[in-house]
Amino acid sequence: MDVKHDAASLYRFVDSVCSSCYRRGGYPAYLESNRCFIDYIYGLGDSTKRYLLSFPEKLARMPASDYNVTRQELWNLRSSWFELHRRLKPASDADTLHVPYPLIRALVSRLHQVPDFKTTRFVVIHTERLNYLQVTASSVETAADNIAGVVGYRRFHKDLGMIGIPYSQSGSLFLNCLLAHEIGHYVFDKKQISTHLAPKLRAALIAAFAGQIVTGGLGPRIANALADWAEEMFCDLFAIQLVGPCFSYAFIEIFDLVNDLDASGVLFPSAAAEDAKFSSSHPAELFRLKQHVSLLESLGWWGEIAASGNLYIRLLSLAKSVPDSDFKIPVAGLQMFETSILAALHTLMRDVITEVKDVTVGLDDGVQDGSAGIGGAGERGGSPFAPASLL
Amino acid sequence: MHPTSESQSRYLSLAIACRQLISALRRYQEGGTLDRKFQASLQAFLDALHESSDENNLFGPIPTDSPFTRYEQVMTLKEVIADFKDKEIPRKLSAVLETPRQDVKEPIEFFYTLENRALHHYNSGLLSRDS
Repeated sequence: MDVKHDAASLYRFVDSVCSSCYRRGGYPAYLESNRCFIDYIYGLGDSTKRYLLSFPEKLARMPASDYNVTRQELWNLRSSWFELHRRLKPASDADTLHVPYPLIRALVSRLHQVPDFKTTRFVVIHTERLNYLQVTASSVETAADNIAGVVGYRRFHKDLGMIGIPYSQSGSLFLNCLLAHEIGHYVFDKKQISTHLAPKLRAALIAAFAGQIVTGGLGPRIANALADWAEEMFCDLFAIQLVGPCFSYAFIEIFDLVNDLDASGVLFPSAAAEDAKFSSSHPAELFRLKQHVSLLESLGWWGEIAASGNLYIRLLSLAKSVPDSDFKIPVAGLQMFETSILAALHTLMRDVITEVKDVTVGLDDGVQDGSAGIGGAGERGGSPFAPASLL
Repeated sequence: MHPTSESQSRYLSLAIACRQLISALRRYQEGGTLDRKFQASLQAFLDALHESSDENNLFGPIPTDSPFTRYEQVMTLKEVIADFKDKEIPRKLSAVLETPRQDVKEPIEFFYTLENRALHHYNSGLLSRDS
């Protein structure tokens, strides 16, 4: 078998990926975290290429019965490089002229108040979609560490996360407050919150489904959906702890949720019904807002902002009173167990809130220190929306 | 979060976990010992396998940080374990943890197949049309 050709093909692929890491004369300029990521990929690529040069010899030394098991390592390496390839170009596009550097610095500075995240940095990447995303911390780290383990290179930086913003929105201070939710995903991942929540999730499901029969692969799908929703809710509530009500405002703005109101400022039933629907990966928007208000109340923010007459506050007030029976799960298979699934989520939310509180011990809520208002930091009579320490 | 990308990452995590188990089993086959990381990973795999085949467990493995517990991972695991149903893989893997010097040829073949299936699922998304 001519495995030299296969190793050479992967060599060329890695080489072409690494060539995009080369910077002439320090241009373009990057955030230190982006530069660190790009330099790491370059070094990992060099080691991979050296390893690939020796791979055919390694395979030749194996007994014939081990050929396929060893040969598949190349495919595994190639796939891991695909995972890094997906992130490299968006990271190298995000030079310092195209990222909201001051806001990111402020967000990370707030995050550094959270125990265990005092040295965290974020690689900022650009997305072509108009959404914000956190590249699952473990997916890049797992792929990089897998390659490093095989080819003999150092492990990926433990304190380096990755967050994405729409490429066109680097100047949007307000919308970029959504990055706080993506930082929440990083925290969720690093603190292994899904593992903490798992026994509670199982208990909530068992209690809610008592006496019911769930067949085939539906049970794991229900558990998976619930786990995904719990993660999204954790990230929303973490974001509010990090940046205050401006997260809810930005959330309302990007999804244009004020469209749920009619001309007199009450919920327009057919529009609101759509935003009361869960998808298999995300909770319903109005469910999320309802939980936002609950946390804003407990933090003391709600008392600061409720008197404002703007439509965002109006929508939040209305979301707070949406009855649980209005939420729907129009997902094939899950719909027939809608009531039980929502009952389980309702139970689980208490544990999600506890996890958020536990993780953010040490992070001031920002209300007492004089909140930042639209008219300026700490200005009373303005419309407060964020902790003064953020801005 | 982009769901397709998330699913792909979960398939890749499964494939990587399998490759690490294969590497550890091969070292063991050549006379080496099983380190603590391998034992924890193999135990997590066995727990997921047990939970996904237990008829009294309606929901299968509950998602955690283990690479064997997300929906895509559980379904891939079930596909492959069905192909190996006559080979008593769970018993043989438990024996590796409990008794020294077991024959691990079939467990290696099993993880090779599981890695292969996971890589197929991961790569099947690469040629998809943009929605």
